[in-house]
Amino acid sequence: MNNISKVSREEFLLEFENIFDETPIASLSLSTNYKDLDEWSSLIVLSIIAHFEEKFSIVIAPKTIYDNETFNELYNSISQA
Amino acid sequence: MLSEKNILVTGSSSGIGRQIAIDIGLNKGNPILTGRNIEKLEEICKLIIQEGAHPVYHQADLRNENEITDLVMSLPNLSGLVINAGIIDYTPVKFISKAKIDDIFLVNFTSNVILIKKLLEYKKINNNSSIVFIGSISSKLGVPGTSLYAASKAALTSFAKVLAIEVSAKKIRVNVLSPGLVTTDLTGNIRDKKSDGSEKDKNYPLGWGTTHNVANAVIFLLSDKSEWMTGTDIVIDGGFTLS
Repeated sequence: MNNISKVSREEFLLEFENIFDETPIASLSLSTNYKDLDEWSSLIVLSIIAHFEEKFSIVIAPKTIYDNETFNELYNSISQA
Repeated sequence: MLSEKNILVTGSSSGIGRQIAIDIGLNKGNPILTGRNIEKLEEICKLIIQEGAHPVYHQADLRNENEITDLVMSLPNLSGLVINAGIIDYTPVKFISKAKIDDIFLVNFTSNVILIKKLLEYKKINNNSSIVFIGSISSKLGVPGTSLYAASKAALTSFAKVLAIEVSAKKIRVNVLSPGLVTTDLTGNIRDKKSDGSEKDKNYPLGWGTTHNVANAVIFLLSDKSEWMTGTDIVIDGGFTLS
C-alpha cells in the first residue's frame, strides 16, 4: 500500500493536469490511452515520475509507465506497488 | 603505469569509480577509496588486494564538510585524484525545486570543490600530480530531464579549467573526461536496460560504454603518458556525438 491507494481513480486522473500542458484535462478519461495523446513524449514520462515522487513520495519506474496504456491501468499498477 | 602512486577516487563504492579503483590497483598504483557504503568499499578493497595491490578506504559522506576535513586529514600525500562522486537526476525543468537544485549541486559540484580546496590547503597533492574529473556529455547536449545534472557537470568542467591554470606552476595536471552513456547501477534504473554492456543503442555507433572503457582513459590521464595534457575535456562516447 502506498499514498496513491489513498486517492480515488478520479483524483488520480486530475493529477495529470499539471503534467500535460496542451491536453485539456477534461478530454481525458480513465480509459484514455495516454500513449496515443499528441503530447506524449519521453519528457511526459519524466514529468509523471517527478510529479508523483514530489507529491506522493513514490518512485514510479519508467517501465511501469511504458508497460501500461490507460490511466486506469497505470493507477492499478502504481497503487498495488 | 602508476607505480606506487597514491590516488584518491571519490565515489568508488560502485559503477565507474569502483572500476577506476580496481584498475589503479591493476596498474600498480595504491588506490584510496572513498564512498558512503562501507561494505562495498571493503569488498572492492579485498578484490584489489587479491591482485597484489595495496588499497585503503575511508568511509565518508562528502556532503558533510566535517567528513571532508576528516578524510583530507587522514590521507597521505597524493599523486593522483579522481573526482567521480556524483548523482544522476532526470527532473524536467517544470518540476525542479530549490531542494532538488541544492541536492544535485551539493553532491556533483560543491562537495567536490570543497574537497579539492582542502587538499590544496593542507598540501596533500604532490607536485606533478594528475587530477581527473568525471564529467558528462550531458553538459554539452540537450537531453530532456537532465538540466540539473548537465548544469552541475558543466559547472565542474568550468571549475576544472580554472583549477588547471592555478595549479600549473606546480606541474599538477587537471583534465576532464566526459563519458557518454555507460551501463552502471545509476543508469540502469532510469533506462530499464540491462547493465551488462551488451545493449546497443542505435545512437551509439560503438554501443554503450562500459565502466572499463572509462577507467582505461582515466588510467591514461593519471599516468605520465599524458604528461603534456592539462585543461582538456575529453569526450569518450562510442561515437554518440558524431551525428
